[in-house]
Amino acid sequence: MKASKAGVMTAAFGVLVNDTDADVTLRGAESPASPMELHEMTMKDGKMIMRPKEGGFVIKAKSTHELGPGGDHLMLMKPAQDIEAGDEVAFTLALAGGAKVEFKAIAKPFAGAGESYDPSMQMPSSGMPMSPMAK
Amino acid sequence: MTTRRGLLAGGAVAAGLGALTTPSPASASVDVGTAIIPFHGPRQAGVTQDPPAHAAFVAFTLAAGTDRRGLGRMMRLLTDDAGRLTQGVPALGDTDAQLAVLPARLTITFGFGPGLYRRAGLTSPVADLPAFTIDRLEKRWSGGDLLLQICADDPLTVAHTQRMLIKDTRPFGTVRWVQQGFRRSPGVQAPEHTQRNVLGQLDGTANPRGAVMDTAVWNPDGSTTAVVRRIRAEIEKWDLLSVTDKELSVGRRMDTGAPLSGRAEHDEPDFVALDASGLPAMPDFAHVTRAHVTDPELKILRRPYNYDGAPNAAGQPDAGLIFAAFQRDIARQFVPIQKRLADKDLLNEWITPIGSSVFAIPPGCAPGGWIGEQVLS
Repeated sequence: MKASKAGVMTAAFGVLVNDTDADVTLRGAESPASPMELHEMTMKDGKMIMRPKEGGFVIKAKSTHELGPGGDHLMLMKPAQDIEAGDEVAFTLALAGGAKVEFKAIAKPFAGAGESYDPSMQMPSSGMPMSPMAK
Repeated sequence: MTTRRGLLAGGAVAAGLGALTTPSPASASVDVGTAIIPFHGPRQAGVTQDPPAHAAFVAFTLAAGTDRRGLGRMMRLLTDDAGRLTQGVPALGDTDAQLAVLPARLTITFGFGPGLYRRAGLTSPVADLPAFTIDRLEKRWSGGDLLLQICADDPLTVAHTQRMLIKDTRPFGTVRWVQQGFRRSPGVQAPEHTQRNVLGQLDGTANPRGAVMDTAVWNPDGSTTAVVRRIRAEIEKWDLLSVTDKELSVGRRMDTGAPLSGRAEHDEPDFVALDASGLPAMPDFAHVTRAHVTDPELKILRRPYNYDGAPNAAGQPDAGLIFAAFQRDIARQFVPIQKRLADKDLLNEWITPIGSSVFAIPPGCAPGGWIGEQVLS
């Protein structure tokens, strides 16, 4: 979870682990900290762009799905308050079929990968992987 | 380990016999890399465990805006990092995760300086040491609001851990000083050996052991205190001494570490014993005589690391000791010893304290908790 200012987009990362024998689809994510969207990074007209992931993230049976900088991630669209380094942020993941998965992530400062999740920012900021094990 | 000279000699012999022998490879064990010291518990790790070979002591100055709430966030974040890294798991957002998988007995120990308590609006359990006449303290090695003591049996593990923790501490403060040190590498000597410092002296023979360790080091709540002093070794002057003079200044044999009144390293020094000339076998000016403590409650745990920087153009070394000492109460245990040493210790001729800092070491924490929780929440 990348620390951010109130109103400034930021992102959360991790590894989604599916221990079951069936594919699992992550439909959405919620947090009291901010409205959220599931995003992917993709190439368009020679440029890497970020956009909402149609249909959510599919985690194959008995496998993992990484959410990381430059790839799929959990987007916090507009944090209501500053999310400062060391803050704990609660998340609820909504799976297809109605199941919910809750986890908490700790916010951290800059951690590399030169990626911005705020379109208004000129300088590249960054995101970071985290490892809440969700399934 | 086969030396080059050994190889050449072996080769010559083999040539003479008309057969080649293969030197046996060094028996390096990969167990060193994967060894783990538990992080969670009522007491912080990195105090009473046998010291790993490498250490970085990193002190921070808190930023003006870091208040009590900020300190809580900082310690939650750093505790999360430490709980993972010490167990061989990359920290969250670890950009070089592959460097985290060999912890090599990594410990991360957190210390709170007097300034941290001031910032939190709390009374500090530790106070700066009084000034000693022997001190030549430099600001760049002294003080500090937050201490990270990072120890591991591998220097790359220490380097990666230091980098990761500094990155995550940056929102809360600035690096005040870093002191990096070393002891013998794993496997070179038996575990629990007494460390030898750059002056060649055995250092830490009088450390508390067994049940005395609890009495001397740990408070009932799992806290302790640390003193970190940087002691420059005046090696060029030390070189001029004969072995006998070196032994008289310390009060121990240079080779075995035995007190001059005894035969083996761990023999109790006998301060009334006389030598062949009728003088006390343990001179009253000797380091061991001055530092000696009999009451187990007044002992300190010495956990020093050597440092050895680059020599200057004249070849004079920049070397000495990062003297880390742990005890329940600095004023009651550490200060009286240091005062006796400052007043009269012949060894002062060859060592100079150039840095000094004190830290409270808060209790350890359980999984889900964080270091400093009892103090800051």
